[in-house]
Amino acid sequence: MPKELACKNCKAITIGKVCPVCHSTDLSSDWTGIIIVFNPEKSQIAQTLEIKTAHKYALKVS
Amino acid sequence: MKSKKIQNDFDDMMDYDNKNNKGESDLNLDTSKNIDSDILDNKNNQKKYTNSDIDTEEKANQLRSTNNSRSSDSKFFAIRITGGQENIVANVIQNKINSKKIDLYSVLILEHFKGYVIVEAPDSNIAYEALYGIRHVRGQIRGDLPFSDIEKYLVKKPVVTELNIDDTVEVIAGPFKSMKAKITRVDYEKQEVTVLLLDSPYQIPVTVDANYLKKTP
Repeated sequence: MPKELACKNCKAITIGKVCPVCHSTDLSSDWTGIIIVFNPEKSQIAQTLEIKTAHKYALKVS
Repeated sequence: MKSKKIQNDFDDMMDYDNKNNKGESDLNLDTSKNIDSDILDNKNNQKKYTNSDIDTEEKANQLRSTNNSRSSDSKFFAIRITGGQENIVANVIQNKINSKKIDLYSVLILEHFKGYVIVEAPDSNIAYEALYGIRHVRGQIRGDLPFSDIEKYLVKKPVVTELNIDDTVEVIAGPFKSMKAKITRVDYEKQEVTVLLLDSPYQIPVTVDANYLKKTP
């Protein structure tokens, strides 16, 4: 399985070299926690974390 | 004859002047009317603006209320799975929901809850439908979790953004755990903070991860 990296800017998890959400290249392999948002408009967690795009995110990126 | 001509010329000139004056006065009147109408328009605009403001406020309140009602729709269910298989289960759920139209809102995996996946759905049936047939799923805990229990595990902002130089902090993890320290340098990009330990006899600058620090009042 390819190594998943988390964007330091928006915390989106990707296997590529560019963040698919914010197009940043500042990625980190040191992340913990996962949140997969399917419906950002109705999800209470997405509203709390101010997530507006359905994607897989890390909870903590360092 | 000459005097009559002169008189006529003079009368013509007077008429011309009068006409001009009338014209000017008409123009002035027009401009004053225009100004008045402008003022009225402005007042009307102000009234409209205030009305629109009220409308937007009402709409915002409605949106807030709908958001609250929406957020109250979502429920959180803890699903028991095989320990260490959280990532695999999350990926399988993601693939399943992308292929089938299941109205699941989100899936949460916390490092503090090993062997559990938290699912956000409007109903327990939908959560069950999303997890049915997935390998490593052991069962579902009865009832739903309150959002307040989950909220404290959601990291809203990086800790480093709240830290400043000369702040007193407490180290909450690592070899210097439970020691108090004073910040001397903050690296916002690397999320590292250099601190002076207050409890140690020698004030040695130590660079630690910003997540290991907690701001003390």
